[in-house]
Amino acid sequence: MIGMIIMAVGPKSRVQLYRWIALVVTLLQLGWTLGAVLPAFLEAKSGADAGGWMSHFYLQEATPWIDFSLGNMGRLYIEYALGVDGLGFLLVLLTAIIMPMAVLSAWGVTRNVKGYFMLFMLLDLSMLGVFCALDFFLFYLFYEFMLLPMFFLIGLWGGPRREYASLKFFLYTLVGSVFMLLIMVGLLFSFQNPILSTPETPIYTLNFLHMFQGAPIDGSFFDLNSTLLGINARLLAFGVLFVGFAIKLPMVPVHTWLPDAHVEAPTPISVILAGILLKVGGYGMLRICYGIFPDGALHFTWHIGLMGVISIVYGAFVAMAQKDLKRLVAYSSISHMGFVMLGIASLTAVGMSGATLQLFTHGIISAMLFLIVGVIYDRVHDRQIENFRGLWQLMPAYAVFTLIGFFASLGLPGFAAFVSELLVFMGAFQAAQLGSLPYWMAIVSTLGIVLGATYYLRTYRQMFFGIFNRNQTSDWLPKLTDLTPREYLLLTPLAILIVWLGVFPGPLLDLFEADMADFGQWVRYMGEEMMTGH
Amino acid sequence: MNGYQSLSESLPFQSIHTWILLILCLPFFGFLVLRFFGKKLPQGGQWIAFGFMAASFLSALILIYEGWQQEIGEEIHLRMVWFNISGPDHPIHFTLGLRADPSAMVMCALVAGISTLVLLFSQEYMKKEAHLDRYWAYLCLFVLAMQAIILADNLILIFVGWELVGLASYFLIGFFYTQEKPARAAQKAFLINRIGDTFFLMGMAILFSLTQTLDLSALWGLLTKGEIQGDLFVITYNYLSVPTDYPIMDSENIFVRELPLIWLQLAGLFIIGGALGKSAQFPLQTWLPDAMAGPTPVSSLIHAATMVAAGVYLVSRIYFFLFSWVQVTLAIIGAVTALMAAIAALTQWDIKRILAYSTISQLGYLMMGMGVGVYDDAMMHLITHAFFKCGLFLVAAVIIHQLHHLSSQPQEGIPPYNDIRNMGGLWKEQPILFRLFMFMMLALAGIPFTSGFVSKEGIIMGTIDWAERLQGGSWLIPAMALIGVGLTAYYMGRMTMWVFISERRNNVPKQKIHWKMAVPLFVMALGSFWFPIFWNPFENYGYVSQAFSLPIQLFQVPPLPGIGHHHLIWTILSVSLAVGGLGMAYWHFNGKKSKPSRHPLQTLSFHHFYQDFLYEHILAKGILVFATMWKWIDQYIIDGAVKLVAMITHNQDVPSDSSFEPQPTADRDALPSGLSLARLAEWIDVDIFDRLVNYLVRGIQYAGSYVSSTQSGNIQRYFIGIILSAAVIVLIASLLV
Repeated sequence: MIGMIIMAVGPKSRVQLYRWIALVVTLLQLGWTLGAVLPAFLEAKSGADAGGWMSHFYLQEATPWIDFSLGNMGRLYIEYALGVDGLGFLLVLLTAIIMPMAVLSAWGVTRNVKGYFMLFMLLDLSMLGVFCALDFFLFYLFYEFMLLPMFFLIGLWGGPRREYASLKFFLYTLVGSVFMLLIMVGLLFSFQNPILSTPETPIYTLNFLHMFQGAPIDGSFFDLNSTLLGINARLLAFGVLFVGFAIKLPMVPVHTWLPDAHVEAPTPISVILAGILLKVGGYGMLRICYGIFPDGALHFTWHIGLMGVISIVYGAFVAMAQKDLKRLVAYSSISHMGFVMLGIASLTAVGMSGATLQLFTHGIISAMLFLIVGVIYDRVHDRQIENFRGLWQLMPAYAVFTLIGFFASLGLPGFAAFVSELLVFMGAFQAAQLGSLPYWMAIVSTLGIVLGATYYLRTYRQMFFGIFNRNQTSDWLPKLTDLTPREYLLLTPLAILIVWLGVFPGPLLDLFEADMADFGQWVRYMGEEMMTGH
Repeated sequence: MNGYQSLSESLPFQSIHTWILLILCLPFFGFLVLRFFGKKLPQGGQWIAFGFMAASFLSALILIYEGWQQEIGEEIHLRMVWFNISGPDHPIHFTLGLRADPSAMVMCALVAGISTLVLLFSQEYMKKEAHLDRYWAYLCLFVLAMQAIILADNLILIFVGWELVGLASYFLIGFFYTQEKPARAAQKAFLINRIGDTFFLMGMAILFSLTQTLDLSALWGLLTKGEIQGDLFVITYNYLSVPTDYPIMDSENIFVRELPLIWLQLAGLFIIGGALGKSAQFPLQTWLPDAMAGPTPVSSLIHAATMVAAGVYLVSRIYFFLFSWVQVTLAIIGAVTALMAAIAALTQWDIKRILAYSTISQLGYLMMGMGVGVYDDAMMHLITHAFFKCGLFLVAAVIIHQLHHLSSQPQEGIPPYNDIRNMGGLWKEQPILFRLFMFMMLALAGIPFTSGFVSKEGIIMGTIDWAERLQGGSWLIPAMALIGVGLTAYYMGRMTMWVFISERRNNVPKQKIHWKMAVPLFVMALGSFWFPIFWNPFENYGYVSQAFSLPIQLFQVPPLPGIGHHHLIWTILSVSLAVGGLGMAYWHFNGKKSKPSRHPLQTLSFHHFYQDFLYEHILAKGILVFATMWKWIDQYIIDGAVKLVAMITHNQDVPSDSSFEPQPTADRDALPSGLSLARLAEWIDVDIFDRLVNYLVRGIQYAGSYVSSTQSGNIQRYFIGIILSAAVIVLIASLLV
């Protein structure tokens, strides 16, 4: 069992040269993930026989953690359980890839370096924890832990309105996590551990693996028939949880924290925020909402699809009108996360795999885009699109990387996002054919790729084509130098990865597509079964 | 067809596949070499680009030769699995494959051949430009993507190539990126194509949702197993006949799958929507005239001969499952486009725009031909048109190249060296150029004994046959086609008069044509005669024509007997229209100077019925206003509501210091943010949630204010804070139980 030794290397940086430590730690983590965890995962995967998707959690590690007796009610048994399936592992991989980038891009931080990287490490730890946790309680703890370092990182190292932005970020996400806490408390006595339980002393658990086995026991708070305020309690719980994760994703209309947080956050934080934190939303939807309440997933399919389509189109339109490059990228994130929602709403193998792949591809592409914004902001402390012209002449290498980033993000074939968006479209149309989503949703969602091309190309033409206007901003000219070696080191691997995944998505898809296909089928099946039980 | 192998298996590699791979790999290597090392090479590595392209052309020729030796029914098909998705009951395989059927081989050779010639031509034309390495690299990228479209065996790979040619075209139109006009034109071309591509994508997704595969031979195999029953298309298959990855439970049962017919029809229609963008058909044709802002050899290769034909080629690939009403739509669109563009070409002054509108018009003919069912004639016209239109653009390039230092005032925004009012008299100055031009011009006008005559005649006869079958309003299509013939001859006559025959209106000295320019011109002019391509000057029959045998159409009413008859009277009519058009032009423009009169109809034609105006000034502006409106709503209504609800007094304008300088501690404490945070936390506490949250928020607040007040303070301290607050939650959670 490998478990999460990764975590052990977390917050131990107490020496001088915190940057180097952070970099080495994150690189070690990447090496560990690729060199040790990936082979172990593949081996476990190939060794496993075809069971339900629940049997596809590998590298499990569990220790009893909190265990207290509740008198004659039984025992509550909370485990420190870790393990990954394809989805979890994919996101662990993403985290491992993005973190060294973020550390490297934070090289320029001069203020309170120690605290900065401590928070970084804590963030790293909690993100990995979220993706690996197999116990709802543990998941919740990591989820909360993730929030705090982010709050401080934006609030202390951010831009001019950082306090406002960090507070907004914090409160928004807090709403989501409070929802989650409520549901978790409601679920405390809903599932029994089938192995340890005896008829006399039922042992209650929050372990996902037990929670996914079927409906909660009768008489528990969220059993199939319970109602709350006249609504089916399970559907309500699904809705509430979903909104919590939708805030994180973010979904329109609960997205307004994202542009503010991005604009104020320093570049490395934006990279982490867009690259990894948003994915927690998608991950939570799949793991928690869909996993525990498959009936809700089936019941709300139409609404989830609708919100996905609205996010896609709305995000793209708002992005088109932005004047600040970073806000534009932030809104494009909202648009692209809409594809995730559309994909998971489709519940088809193709759509689910596409949505999951979109989590990954958007992670690396948006990380690259925010790094690109950071390059220009570091030089002149300005991000207004209209203030730049003719950058191709001044910074040709930068122009090429921006071109790759923009075209990858607008879904050009040959780049990573094309595959995931194609799969999501196919899934959406397949769902339409099966009758679970209306055709118009699938058709309207394709507007996203036209609009995406529109705002990226307009921006690119305005910033890079033409001739640099020397009179207006003459003091900029010496500052606008081409990429430094460190920036090359940041952008080149991402660009290679984006192209590589666009051309050979197979190996990455193999990690998770079977799990997602099984999961989608399970949600359909289980959801229907539970719906009839209502 | 023996394409029934399961898609899960790669097809074995045979020696003949080397040539297919070479056709694709050579431009790819060329692209890589030039992109990374081009700067250091002389002239940006022009001979390297030429060498790679010529080798690619050679591979295409060898492929044709080898393919000729193949036995009938044997396919040249190479395929590998790209990735798999585990479907609910069967795996779905996404494959990448290359298949060289005769029509693909001919197209490959055409693209590689014309590209090689245009590269040679560009060496002279672009001699003085900077960043030539990029130019060659983009051209290689273009050829790579174009060959991918041609050789692809499935729609996804076609789409990949499709978008990549769009990308190459974007770079090449915007090659002079420091100027405003090319930059805008590049963006416009990409965006309008993107609209078409979106339809293509939708069509693919619909088709996939029905058939679970986008492999063309698998689709063929699947759809031939079906029949139409009312609203449904019912596919019956069993273990032996399953052509694709459809589920097979056991080896005996017969399976039936019912597909809604309407969506099968719409899938075809949507994919054609993609073709409308790339092939510049109404209503997506407005990008092509603007694309002329790119270098002229690029216009000649990409925006006249090859890329714009990709749409027609796509239609030919999915021809077998097009329904008749979809084809009728295609024919109408083609006819409208052909006529509109021919009218617009009548009044243009920019030599490249005349040719651009003429290209749109001819592409309209191609689509019309596809729509009325003369597949082979349309494909042949694609080939012949590629030669003479590419040649005409190259002639224009020679003239523009010579006039490049002309410094008169631009009229109506047309660069002086493009303006036909500044030309004239070339008849005597450059007799050889004039003769070459005449051959190609006559081919475009459709005069007998040219290649253009044979193929265009085929299309027109096709429309007449088609109209005879359908009767009624369908006669409009041949009528439009015939009017188009007359107009084509007229505008080409007008151009000839202005450029060559009327007296000279500039004082640029006579120049010799460089051999690098002359050789491509000679080849193109040769291709304008009937004999290299056809055996009979009046019949579409020859080596090349054999490549385009009509594929079996699944959803067509079989044509009535009588098709293929030569209607002599119609031929005479169309030829006399062409000759009449030329004569009219001669009579009209002989000895005349620039006409100042501006009839409203002329203005309408000059602006192409104001379609562009509508798009740019009304639609595009409207969308931007719409987007700005949403931005406003986002900022003030959605976010405003949030702010209102949260009751945050966000008046704490922190000193707007954009750098990461530390804030003085006192300032920070003095801010009312702590207050509003507390109020907000309190509000959440009271109104929404139970008391648990309060502890959390307080804990965080405590830790937060602690840390922020002691800048370099002990981080451990607030870790303790965090852990404490977490412990509090645990405690309360457990107490609550």
